[in-house]
Amino acid sequence: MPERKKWTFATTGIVAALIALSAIATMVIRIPIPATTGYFNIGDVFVVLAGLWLGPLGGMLVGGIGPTIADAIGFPIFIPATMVTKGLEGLVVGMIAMGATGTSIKRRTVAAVAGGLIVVVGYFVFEAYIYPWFGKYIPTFAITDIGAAIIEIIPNAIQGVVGAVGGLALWKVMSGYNPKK
Amino acid sequence: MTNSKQIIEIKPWWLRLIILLSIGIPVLTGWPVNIATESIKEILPVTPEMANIFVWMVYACFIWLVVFLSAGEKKLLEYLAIAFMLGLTTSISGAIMRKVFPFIAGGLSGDEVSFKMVKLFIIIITVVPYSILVMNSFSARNLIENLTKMKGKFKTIGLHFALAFRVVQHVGEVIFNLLEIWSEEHPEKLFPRHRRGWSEEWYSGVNVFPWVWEAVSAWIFACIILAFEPIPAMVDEVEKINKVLSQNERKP
Repeated sequence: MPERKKWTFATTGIVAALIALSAIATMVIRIPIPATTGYFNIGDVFVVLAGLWLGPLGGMLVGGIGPTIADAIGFPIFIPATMVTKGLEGLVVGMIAMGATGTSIKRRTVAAVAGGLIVVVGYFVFEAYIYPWFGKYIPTFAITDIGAAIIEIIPNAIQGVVGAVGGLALWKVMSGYNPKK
Repeated sequence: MTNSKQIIEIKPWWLRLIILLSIGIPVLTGWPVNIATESIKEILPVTPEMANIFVWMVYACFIWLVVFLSAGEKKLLEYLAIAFMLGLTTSISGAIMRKVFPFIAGGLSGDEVSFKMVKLFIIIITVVPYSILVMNSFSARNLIENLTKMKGKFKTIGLHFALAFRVVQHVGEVIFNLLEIWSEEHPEKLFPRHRRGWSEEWYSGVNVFPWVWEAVSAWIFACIILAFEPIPAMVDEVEKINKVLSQNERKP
């Protein structure tokens, strides 16, 4: 796991459970960052887990939907940034991990670290360039600038590390689960 | 009022969805909160920040009234318990982290940060009950029943969607109920003051760290176990429905 295989009802069940868990994990531990109006959270743990366990499509769905639901509760302005960044995080983790064989951890560690990097780079690009550009046309988006985006690099890096380590640890526990058994 | 279910009884389902989305417009777009804030500023001698908070509070009361009328008093209190827990953990953890890492305030003044945090708290205690109400206003069973009338690929896609919706509903329900159950049966997993040796042993100040680790691990594993436990049964049921529908489609 993960390897290319048919999408079944069991896959849908697991993806839906991970979407709900990633939304709840994102909501339960939230540390607001007033500089950007964003927040630190641990939802990435389940996005990385989804990528490692289910592959690129499952990772992208969990990353693009779960944390976005959490953003809708209190931080709706971050919905576009989260949907793209976290969706990409799940997709890339899944793509890199797809080539891993058996229970080998090396390639999966690289995948999880790549996921963390995408979180840092993705939010930086959105907060430093895309949101200020949107803000010229839609004032609601004018909440960040390059200075605020730099401040958020450290919390996002910690979030990426927590997501990578937690996701790998949970993958070791969960990868044997099969809803058909 | 505990048995009133006005919103879930609205038919067809798309009308119910439109009504619920209309109620939630301020949450997603900020409109008409900004217009109302401007009006209040002109009428009352208050700062723009206070006017904005006042409007959000009025909107919160409106949402709570909608939940009360639709789901009843007991459910409203349950949803508010979850909302206040999420709002308070966000506010308290934010306040602690701003003391430890002042740079995250990004040079904003104390008043500006306080305004942002108060507004965030009010938005959370408003949006959480609303979101749970929306989620519980639709039935996965009804969705599956409607799908049985469809044919071809749309039916299979619809069954996947119905299964996903049912799993998400289940996870939301069990995990938030876990909080209520644990607060009665295992308070030591939720509140640090219930941990072993608290206020009696010399090391009581230090043993909060093992407690945090144990509590977080217990929470994560309990959530995962409860989330995944019924999936095999749910998948099995949907597969059987899919099989029967496919056989019926093949019959001349």
